[in-house]
Amino acid sequence: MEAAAAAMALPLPDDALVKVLARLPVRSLAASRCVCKAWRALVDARELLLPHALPHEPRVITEDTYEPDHVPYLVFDPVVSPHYEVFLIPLVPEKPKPADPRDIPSTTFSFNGLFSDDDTMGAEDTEEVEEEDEEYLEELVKSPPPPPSIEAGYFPARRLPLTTGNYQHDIDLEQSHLCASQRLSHRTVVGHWMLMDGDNGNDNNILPEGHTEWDFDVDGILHYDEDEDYHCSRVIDFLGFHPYKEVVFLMVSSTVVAYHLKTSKIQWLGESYSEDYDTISQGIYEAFPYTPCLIGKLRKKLPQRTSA
Amino acid sequence: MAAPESGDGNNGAARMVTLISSDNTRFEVEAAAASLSQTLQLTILDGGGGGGDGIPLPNVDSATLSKVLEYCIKHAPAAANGGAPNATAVDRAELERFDNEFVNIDQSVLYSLIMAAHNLEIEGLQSLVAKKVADMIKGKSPMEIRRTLGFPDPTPEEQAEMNAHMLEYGWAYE
Repeated sequence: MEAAAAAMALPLPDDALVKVLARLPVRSLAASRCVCKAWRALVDARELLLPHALPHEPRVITEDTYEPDHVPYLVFDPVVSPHYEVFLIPLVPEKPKPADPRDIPSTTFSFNGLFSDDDTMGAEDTEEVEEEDEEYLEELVKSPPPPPSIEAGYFPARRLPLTTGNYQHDIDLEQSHLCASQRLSHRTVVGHWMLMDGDNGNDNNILPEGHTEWDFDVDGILHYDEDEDYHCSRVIDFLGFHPYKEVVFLMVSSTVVAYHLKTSKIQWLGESYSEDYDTISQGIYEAFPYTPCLIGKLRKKLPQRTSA
Repeated sequence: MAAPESGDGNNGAARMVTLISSDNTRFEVEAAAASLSQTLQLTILDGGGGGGDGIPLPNVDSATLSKVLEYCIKHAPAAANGGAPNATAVDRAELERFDNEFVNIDQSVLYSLIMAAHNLEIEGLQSLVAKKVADMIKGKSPMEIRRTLGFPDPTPEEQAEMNAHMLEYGWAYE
């Protein structure tokens, strides 16, 4: 009766199709969502991508839990794994002045995850981690560390590939962008930052006409002039990574910038403090990777289109 | 497993039921095997399907039903043990081998099996066929998935929409 070749393209009962899709790893699930309208509607309606997109309990630990000279660091990358991991990282020692500021070694360290929400990782022995930390410190002593890109006590921005546990310190945040970040506070830049609400006296949160979202390639680029002498004494917070571009988000005082790792380009994104917050301590201090699979969900109320 | 004693006086020998496919073929199987279907289980517990009555299955043709029953008969003993802690590794390996072989079939047959497993609510078979289809999809692009499953080529509008959505999910393809 049915044409044999096209058999599988015949409509399946939703429940049967969900049983198939629910078995897919997140990348294949995202691909399946693009196959046709019916599949997309089903993936969205059953919220199959949500568990992949959201960290289950992102703020499980606080700094108080650990020794004061360590910083717990939570790592989550939905593209690599639906699980997050917590790293306990010793504070970067006081910055030694390199003889020649341009001579910055690139160093690779490795350490173990402290624990994660993945059970297979949860069995990690804490003592072992501390040992690893000591090794890390020893290594720091042996080879002079690269100058911390952010003030001592703040963890330099680096990408942590969960698959290998190695991270590479390859970002020189100091030479160009600290200064550029400083400069931007005196400058009006046209851009857009989702967290900015209301107006704070200027109109720089208005997107250029025709833009519906931030363009990471062209919008709000800040230029740094090497000849000028900038001075920066402000604290820079590391907010998070872009999920799939080589971009990190940093906060300089209360201003958020995107920093392109490959090109050292800096983009102004806006203020991180909402006017609703009473105190300065309630701003945004960290961020999780932006999760594109939620866009559709947030943007519209999912009209239940019937597909033929 | 308290089979109703009334109705059929079949002591000792396994109780049999008759299933009738959409094209009127009669299949006689052990009640235990047919009971893997949640849909049939209640009828069978009520004593139905015995003797000359038979249970009509208007949604399942004879080719598909015989395939479904092949699965049920193979899996009935393990199911009767209730997930059997005493099942040996050898038994499990044998079932696994059977399962792999079982879904190594034409797509049209696979589709019929999905529908039958869904309608008859045979949990193990549902998982098995779902896994098979998922394996066919895994690691493929949307276009490859469409080709694999025999979707017609997308219309230009569909293609544009696919491209837009793939852009949104760029991270999934890098």
